[in-house]
Amino acid sequence: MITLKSTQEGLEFWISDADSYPKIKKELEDTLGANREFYRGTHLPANFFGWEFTDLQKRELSAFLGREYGIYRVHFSDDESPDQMPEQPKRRGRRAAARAEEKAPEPEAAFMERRDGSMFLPKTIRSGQRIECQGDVVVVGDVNPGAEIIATGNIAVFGKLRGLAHAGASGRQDVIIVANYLVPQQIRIGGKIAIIPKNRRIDGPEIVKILDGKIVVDSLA
Amino acid sequence: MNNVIVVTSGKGGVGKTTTSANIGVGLARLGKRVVLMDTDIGLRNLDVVLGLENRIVYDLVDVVSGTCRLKQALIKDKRYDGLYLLPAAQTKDKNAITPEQSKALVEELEKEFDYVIIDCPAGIERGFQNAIAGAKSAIVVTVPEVSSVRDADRIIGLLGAAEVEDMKLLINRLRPDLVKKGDMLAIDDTLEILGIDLIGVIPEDELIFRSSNLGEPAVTDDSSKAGKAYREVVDRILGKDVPISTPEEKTGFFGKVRKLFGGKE
Repeated sequence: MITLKSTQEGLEFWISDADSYPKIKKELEDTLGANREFYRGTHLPANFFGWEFTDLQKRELSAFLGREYGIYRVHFSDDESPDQMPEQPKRRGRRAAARAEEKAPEPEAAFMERRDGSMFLPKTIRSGQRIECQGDVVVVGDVNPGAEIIATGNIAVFGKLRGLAHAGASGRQDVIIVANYLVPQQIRIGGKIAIIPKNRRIDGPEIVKILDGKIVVDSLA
Repeated sequence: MNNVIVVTSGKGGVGKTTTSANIGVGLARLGKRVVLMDTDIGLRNLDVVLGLENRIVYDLVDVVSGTCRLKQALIKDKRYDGLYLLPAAQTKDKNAITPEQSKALVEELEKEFDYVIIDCPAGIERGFQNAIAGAKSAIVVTVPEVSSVRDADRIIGLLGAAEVEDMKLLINRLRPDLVKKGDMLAIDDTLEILGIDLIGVIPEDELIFRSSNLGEPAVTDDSSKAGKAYREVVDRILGKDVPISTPEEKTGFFGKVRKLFGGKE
């Protein structure tokens, strides 16, 4: 069994009662499968505990996670050789490394909000900011051009949606996007992408959903 | 606004350095003690715009590295009492100082001067981080075009994350004739996207090119429209309640004749 924990230091995979590498890999796919695109671009490291992988398996697994899920920093708890994994020594060292990272965060890190559960954001989301959420997102404010809202659930914007909104990011098609004023750069629901025509007449709040396999915009009134 | 103000924009070429120079000179003309700090290490310009380039001996990196004392690097502008420049180094790069060092330097300058005006480099990398490290207020400069407004939006987000909450917007190089034709973003559209208060609108002014090349900021020139707008910006920095005069369209010959006879424009 694989338990996935999301901590400040990244993703932790705890492996228990496993008997073979192929089974572990299969279970990993099941665990991550629902959120295929969710981790891409987040730069979250993944840490594995509870299983001794061979070097070949480690290489294979790292490549697999990078290719399929965009997880590029993969560490293994039994890796203790400091020159091989400088940023990932033992348990105690790992905390220290995490503290050091906190001191000098990547500029992007401050700009990414990532949370499980629904999010209520009473503010304007500006260019370069990316909100990721496993659940629904409500923005009370504008979503400016260059900003991105990625949610596995629905998205509601009480303001102008001018940036990018992706609802159902894990593949769900039964989700909606609503906005008071819908002029996005791009709209995505599930795996579908649409561009809303510019210079159209907008009379009030609108709803975006999938109807017969197509993204459609409708008046909310 | 507060006494330590960073002038920033994200995008290059929108007038950060010109604005810094004009604000600095404008404040000094009103009797304030002002230091202009150029943080654009490797691409310094502020000295040129002020006409002080051939007086540089030491620079900001020399101060931080301990090669000289702070007072040795400060260049006094002889034309205006109380105006000093701390030039950037030209032969180093942005990584020559850290945000912590920059902040310590600003704290040092703050003791000596009424206002510290920090000229920020373009971009959002190390140079930007250095420039905003000690700032308490920010003037975000944008020109009325989409790409510049987009970058300004990003900068406002970054300033907010860095807890520089007091931000004002300065719209530069506005051409009323182009706005009227719809070829340039209007002031209202820009404000609507960015959602911060306006500190001034500077009209496009050919005199600016001349003043920059001569090393005499437009703020001192009574015949310059941009200079007048900068004088108003300076008043607003000092807390005076000056209404924002938006640049009007050129009136043309007949308009002028009508004005002459007391008619409305």
